Amino acid sequence: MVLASIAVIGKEHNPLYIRAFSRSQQDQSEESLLRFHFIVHTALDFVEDKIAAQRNAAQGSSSSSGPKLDPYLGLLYPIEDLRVYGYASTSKVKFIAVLDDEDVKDAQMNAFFRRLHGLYVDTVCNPFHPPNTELYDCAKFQRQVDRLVDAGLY
Amino acid sequence: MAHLRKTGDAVFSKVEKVNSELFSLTYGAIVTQLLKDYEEVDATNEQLEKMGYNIGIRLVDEFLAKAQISSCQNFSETAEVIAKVGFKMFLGVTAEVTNSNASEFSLQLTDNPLAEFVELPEQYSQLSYSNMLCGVLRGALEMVQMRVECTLTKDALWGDDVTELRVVLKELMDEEYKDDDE
Amino acid sequence: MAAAPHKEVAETCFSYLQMELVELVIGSDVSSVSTVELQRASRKIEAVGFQVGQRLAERYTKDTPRFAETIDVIKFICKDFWFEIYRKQIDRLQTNNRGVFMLQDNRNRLLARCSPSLERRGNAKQVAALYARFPAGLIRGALSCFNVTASVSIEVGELPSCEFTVKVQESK
Repeated sequence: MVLASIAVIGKEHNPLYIRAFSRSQQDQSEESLLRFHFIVHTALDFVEDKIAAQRNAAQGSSSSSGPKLDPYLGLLYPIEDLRVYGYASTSKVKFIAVLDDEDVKDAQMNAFFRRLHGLYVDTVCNPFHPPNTELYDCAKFQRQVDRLVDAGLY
Repeated sequence: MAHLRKTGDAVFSKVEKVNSELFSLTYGAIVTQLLKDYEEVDATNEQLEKMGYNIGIRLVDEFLAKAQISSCQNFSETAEVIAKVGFKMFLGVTAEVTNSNASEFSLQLTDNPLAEFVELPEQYSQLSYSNMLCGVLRGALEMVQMRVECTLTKDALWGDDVTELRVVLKELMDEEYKDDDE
Repeated sequence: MAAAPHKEVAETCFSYLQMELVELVIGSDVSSVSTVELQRASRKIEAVGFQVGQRLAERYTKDTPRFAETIDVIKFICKDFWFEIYRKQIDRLQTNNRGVFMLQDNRNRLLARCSPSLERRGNAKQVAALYARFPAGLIRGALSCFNVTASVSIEVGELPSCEFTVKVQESK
C-alpha cells in the first residue's frame, strides 16, 4: 500500500500531527499539505458518523458482554484517486491514513493503525511530553513514523 | 561471577513486583514535578540525589536480608555484587562493571528502567535524569561503612550508548571491614 | 508486531518512590505542618498521580474496544487499571447514578506496606490520607484520558482500607 498522508488528531479534534508523503518533490508544497489538512478535516465527520453507527449497532445487539466498539473504523470515504481510512482509540485520539492505491486489506490497515497507535502511546509516556499536544518536536516519534512508512513495517 | 548472577535472578524471582512502566512513569512525574518546583536543573539534580540517598539507607537492610551476601572482600567485589544482585533485585536488570580498581568502579546500564520512554527536551539537556540512582548507591554503601562519591558520567538520554555511574570510595568508616570475611 | 517482553521492577522501588514523594512535599514531620501546607502537599502528590494515571490509562487501553458510557470507564478503572497497578481490583463500587461513584479498596497495597510505621506515629490517618492522594490522582488522570473531568475525594478507613469518591463534572 502507498501512503499519501497520515494524521493524528487529539481528544478535542485538535490536530497533533499531519504528514504528507510523496516521491515527487513538487508534492511537498504548502498547497499539497493544505489539501491533506482539508481531507483529514473532512474525515473527522466520517469518523463521528462511524462511531455513532458502531454505537447504534452495539445497542441493537444487546449482547450480555456489553458493546464492543472496535477502534478500527475501516474505509471512511474515497476522494478523487485517494482512499481515507480511520481509527479511533479508547482515549479518543483519532488516526487517519490517506492511501494512494486501490487494493488494501482491512487486516493490513488495522495492523498499521495499531503500530501507529503504539508509537503514539510510547511518545505520550515521555514525562516531558504534555498529553494532547503536537508531536512535531518528538524526534523519536518522527523517526519511527518514517521507519513505519518507509519500510512498510506493519 | 556466574554465581552472583544466579543469586540475583533467584532473589528477583521471589520479590513482589510491579510493571516497570508504572515505576518509570512515577519516577518521570516526580522529576518533572521537581523541575517545576525548583525551576532549575542543578537543584533538581541535587534533590534527586538526596531522595535516592534516603531510599538507599532504607533499602540496604532488605537487600542484605534477602540476598544473603557474605561480606565483600574488596571494593571490586562490592561492585560486582551491586551490579549483578542489587540492580537485579530491585530494578530487574543487571549492570556491567568497568574500570574497576581498589577504590573506584563504573556501572554501566544498557537498559535503564527509570528512563523508559524518556526524551530530554533541549532546555533540560543538562539534567542528570537518573541521578536518584547515585543517591541510592551512596546511601546504601554508607550503611555498610563505605563513604563514596557517585556521579552520573554517561547517559543514554545525553546520546551516550549506555548509562554509566562512577563510584569512588572516599573512606572506609569501619576498620573491622577488611577482616570481616566469613 | 512482536509484543515487547513484559518488564518488571521490585514493588519496593515503587513504594519507596511514593514515600519519598510524600517526604519531599511535607517534610518528615507531618504533625507540625499547617492545614494550608497540608492542602498544598496533597495537591502536589495528586498532581504527580494524575500525570501517571493519564499516561497509564493511555497504555492500558491500547488494544481495547472503546467505552460506550462513563460507567464503562469507571468499571475499567476498578478492574483492569487497578489490577495492573495494585494486583487487585477495587473491592466495592457504588453509584448514585447521577455522576457520583464510590470506589472502596479494602486493602490498598501501599497503605498496607506503610501502616505499621504509620500506626506508631499517632497521626496515621492524616499521613495515610496523604499517601492515598497518589491513587486519587491516578483515578483523576485515567478519567481525563477518556475526557471525563472529575474530582476525587478520599476517606481513609481502618488501615489499610480507603475509599475514593469520584464526582464526575462533565463527560464529552
